[in-house]
Amino acid sequence: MDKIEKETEVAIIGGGIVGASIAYCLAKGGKKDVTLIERKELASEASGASAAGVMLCLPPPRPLLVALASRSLKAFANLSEDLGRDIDYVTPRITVIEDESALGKYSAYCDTLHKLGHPEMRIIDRAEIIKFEPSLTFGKHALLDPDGGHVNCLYLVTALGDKARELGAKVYEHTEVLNIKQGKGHVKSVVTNRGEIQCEYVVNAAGYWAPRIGEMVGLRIPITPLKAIMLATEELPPVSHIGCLGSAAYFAADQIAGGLEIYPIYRQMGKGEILIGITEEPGEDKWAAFENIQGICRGVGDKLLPYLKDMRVNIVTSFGNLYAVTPDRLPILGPVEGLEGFIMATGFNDYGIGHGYGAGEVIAELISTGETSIPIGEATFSRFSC
Amino acid sequence: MIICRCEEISREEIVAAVRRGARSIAAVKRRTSAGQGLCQGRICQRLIAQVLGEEGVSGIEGIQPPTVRPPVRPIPVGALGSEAEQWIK
Repeated sequence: MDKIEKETEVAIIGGGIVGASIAYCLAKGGKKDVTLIERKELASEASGASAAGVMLCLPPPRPLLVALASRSLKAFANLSEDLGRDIDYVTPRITVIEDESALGKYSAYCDTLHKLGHPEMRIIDRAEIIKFEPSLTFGKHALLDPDGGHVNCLYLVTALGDKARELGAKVYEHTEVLNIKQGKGHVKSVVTNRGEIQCEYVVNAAGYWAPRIGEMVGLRIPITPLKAIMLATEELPPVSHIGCLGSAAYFAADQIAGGLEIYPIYRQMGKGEILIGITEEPGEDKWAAFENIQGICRGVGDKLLPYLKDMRVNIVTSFGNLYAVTPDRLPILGPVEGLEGFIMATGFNDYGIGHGYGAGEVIAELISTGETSIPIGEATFSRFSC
Repeated sequence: MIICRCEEISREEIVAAVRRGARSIAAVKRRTSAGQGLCQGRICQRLIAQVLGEEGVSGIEGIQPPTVRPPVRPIPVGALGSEAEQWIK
């Protein structure tokens, strides 16, 4: 393993979508004295087991999130070329509105999104739904998100980290931050299992590990893990022609013990496998229990994709991640009062892949220029201290 | 030469992933999809470890297998769903 450098300007803790995006954006912008520190490997946690959905809006529309997502989606269109790796960005995203009484609510969401500068978001009817996805047997209406869809999160996050390294950033894997040292109201260094690194900035992009990092500087960061499980089928010829499909209704799998919540989604990826899911439950492990697998096969396989039975399609593997959930479902971004140099960049709940790159750009701006092109005041850590 | 038969990933692609920064079988998998197909790495895992060794990755990181996840063999979606009765006798 490489010897670690004893000094860096920016130490980024966490090698997921957010950390890798910040490292890439800083290095691309000319700030090369950046060190990305990851306790396992790039994309080992949530970013490596994501449902891979990207979207302009996970309702209800919140202006900050819409702005971050818009940045991400614009970037995805060119990232494959910039990174030298195809990130399998496919559009659109369709969210089926099963409950007709929710139509009014979704129309109001569209009005809000139009006012936020996104006239492309709209409600479509059955005739249009089946133009996009002929095999879909249900759904009278849907929310169309033309630039939403899916990306391959593994390719994306590893490519961001690899390119950052190529551009001059340091990427230390299998390196765990054990402590953070402070001077008078400012960060001084991170202490890792491979040595101490003096630094000007420490970015906490550690997902569900963020509270552990916060403890090192005396902060109580209100992030709790939420266990999410997905399944992957074997590779199939193209049966889905959209980026991703979701259902507007969460429903509880009533046949399954334990009251698992299931948010039905599927996406067919570039190589043909269909990712189906997703179960959500309180938990601190990433293991797909029998109930998770059964719940998805029944709730999503049977309901959304009945032709999988007829085609005798096999489930080949499962994967799970732990979301970093915040109390108000907004991320925690930006500087922390009283601790100069410490920057939060985490708490992306269930929308990390779709918003993390945009957040990475904004945090890189903050570090390079002191300003951000998207106001992040409502997402700072200070909203929790009261 | 093809290392991962299920996904048709060549030795060259694996070497390229290692040179981009992959230092383990799991890291190769994330960059190339080798080991993500039907056999979930049963055939290619040891071959990938061999390539890592040839590319200078020493120590346990280069040979450590990625996490095994359920199901241990492919199962039809229907077997756990609405066709369960036909499958579980």
